[in-house]
Amino acid sequence: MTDREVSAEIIEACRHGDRDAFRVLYETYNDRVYSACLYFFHGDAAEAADVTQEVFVKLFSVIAGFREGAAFSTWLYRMVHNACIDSTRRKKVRERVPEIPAASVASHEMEFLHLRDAATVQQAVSSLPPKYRVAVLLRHFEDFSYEDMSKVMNCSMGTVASRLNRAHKLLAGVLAPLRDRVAAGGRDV
Amino acid sequence: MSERPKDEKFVHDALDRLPVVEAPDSIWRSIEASLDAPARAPERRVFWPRYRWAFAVATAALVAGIGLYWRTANRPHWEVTLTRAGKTTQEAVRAGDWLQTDASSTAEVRVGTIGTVEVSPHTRLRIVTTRPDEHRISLQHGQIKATITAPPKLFFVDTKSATAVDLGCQYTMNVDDYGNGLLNVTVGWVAFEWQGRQSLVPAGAQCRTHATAGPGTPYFEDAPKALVNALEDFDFANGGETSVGAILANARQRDTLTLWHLLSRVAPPLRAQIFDKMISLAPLPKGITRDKVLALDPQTLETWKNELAWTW
Amino acid sequence: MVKKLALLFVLAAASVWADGLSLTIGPPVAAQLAMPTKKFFGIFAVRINGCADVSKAQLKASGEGIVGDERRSAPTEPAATLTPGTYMVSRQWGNDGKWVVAVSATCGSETAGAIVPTHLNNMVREGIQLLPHAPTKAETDAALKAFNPAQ
Repeated sequence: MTDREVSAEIIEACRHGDRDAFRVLYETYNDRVYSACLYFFHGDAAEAADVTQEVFVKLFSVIAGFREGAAFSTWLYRMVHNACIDSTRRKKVRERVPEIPAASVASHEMEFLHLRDAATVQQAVSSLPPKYRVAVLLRHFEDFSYEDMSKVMNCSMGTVASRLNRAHKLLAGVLAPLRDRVAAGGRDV
Repeated sequence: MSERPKDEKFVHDALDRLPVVEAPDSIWRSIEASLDAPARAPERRVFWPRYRWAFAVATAALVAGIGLYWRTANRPHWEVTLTRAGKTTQEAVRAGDWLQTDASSTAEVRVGTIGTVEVSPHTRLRIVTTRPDEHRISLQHGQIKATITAPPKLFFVDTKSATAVDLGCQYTMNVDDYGNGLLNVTVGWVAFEWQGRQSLVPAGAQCRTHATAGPGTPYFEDAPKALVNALEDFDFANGGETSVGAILANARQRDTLTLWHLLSRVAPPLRAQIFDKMISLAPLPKGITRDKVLALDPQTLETWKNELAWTW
Repeated sequence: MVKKLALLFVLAAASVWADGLSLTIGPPVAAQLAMPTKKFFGIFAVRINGCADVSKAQLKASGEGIVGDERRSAPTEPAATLTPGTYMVSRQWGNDGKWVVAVSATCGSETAGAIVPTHLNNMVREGIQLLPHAPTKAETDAALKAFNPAQ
């Protein structure tokens, strides 16, 4: 991932209500925020879009309070984290059946194996409790350090480590059938 | 990043299978709408220069120019991986662009976030629209293989004689310059349409299209040759009653797909014969009556198709 | 008169029992259009029949296979479709060996089952067994033994 952070000038412009600057900021983060939400909400595109919108609308309204010198992405993903967890609580997680893929083609297509793997991984992520799930997704998509994660999740680094460790163990167990393929670099030939 | 524990590394590598998904354009529009919603900011005094109308026009022109630049630079595009003689290059295509491969080249087009189109050699196609609510290409000649994992009716392939409407699927389409071609579905369903005529093609089935007649009648790939030949006569050579007779004589249980489509493509006397053959192959579901079928009641036909699909 | 009414009642009850709980197994296209998401691909569709309240029915499926000399099981969660009582079953095992899927449904106190042979990403229709109970281990093992995917 490159250019994770927007420039200080962009943030400053946003703090002054510059809509174009906010668009730039939005374009910098929108895909990753949306993706994290999409996988958090079991592939529910509508829910992911709603939460993404909610986060950015809130962001624009409170960005004036963003402290210079702090890491913007940590601050942003704190909102993403809270929005995901809050949404889960509000809706009492009507846990949709996660997307589960297996190709139904007569011939054995590599791309379907890859698709199937992607959705197997998604299913495995969906099976995690919400707090573990959001931790895994934020760690993966943003490559945050434990210190950053502690700011995002508003908990101690020890709690971050504990949740991630537990989540990784759970995922490693569920995804064990993929281990050989993942270790080989992905696709069967 | 420091060396990860083994489990974390495996999980991290597995999570790489999850692609970053492009956020729909609609999200930004919703954000803007929320930000623009009435809860007006206090009015601010603006200092107007002396020649304020000229200033306003100049400002408007500047804003329009910036907007045009922004729109052009950010026009939706699809990424294309071109492969020629073992070498690959990445390009972007936009609405209105042509894509052509020769004998030694292929391409893979990423259709927004909804799937891919593999382009075989000797293929020419045009990108028609790249909107989030409509992804459309026009296949002039050659072969493509589309794999789409989006909600139905977001991806369309136009040819001279039919349009393939994706219903969530994978399929191959092959056409010549005149618009004659073959659609072959490997996953899900495709609606093959032209001028009000529609053929619903499920996985394992294929459907011809002809420049002068549009899409024909779908049949399963393993259908008896005699049935396929008779169907081709019926669809494209005015085979009429003789062709229908041959189709009925060779139809298996699975070929009720073909027979179901024929119900609405023949006159009533033949329709009754087709109906009788169908119920000899698969029992009539409860609630479906002969009269309603022969009257081509849409709900009845739809219900029967959905029930027949369990035997396909 | 009373005897006639009693006979009618028994006959009616028998027809209900005769209908009973059962499964229909079909290709994925039978349920594809009712999938809540088009990103899902299954190897076969299952429909529960004869259940008074299908929303309370439960469906389970498990891939049962032989890989080399090893007997294996691979649970697979049937995915609900938008049509109540209809599900899609996906493959959760590799390409090696031979596999059948043991399916069982419960509705109240009734149970029905099926054993569905599979080959790669397809069901093998000819070998499907529909059962008035959940498949037993013996039945599943016998089906595996008899199944030859190469045919």
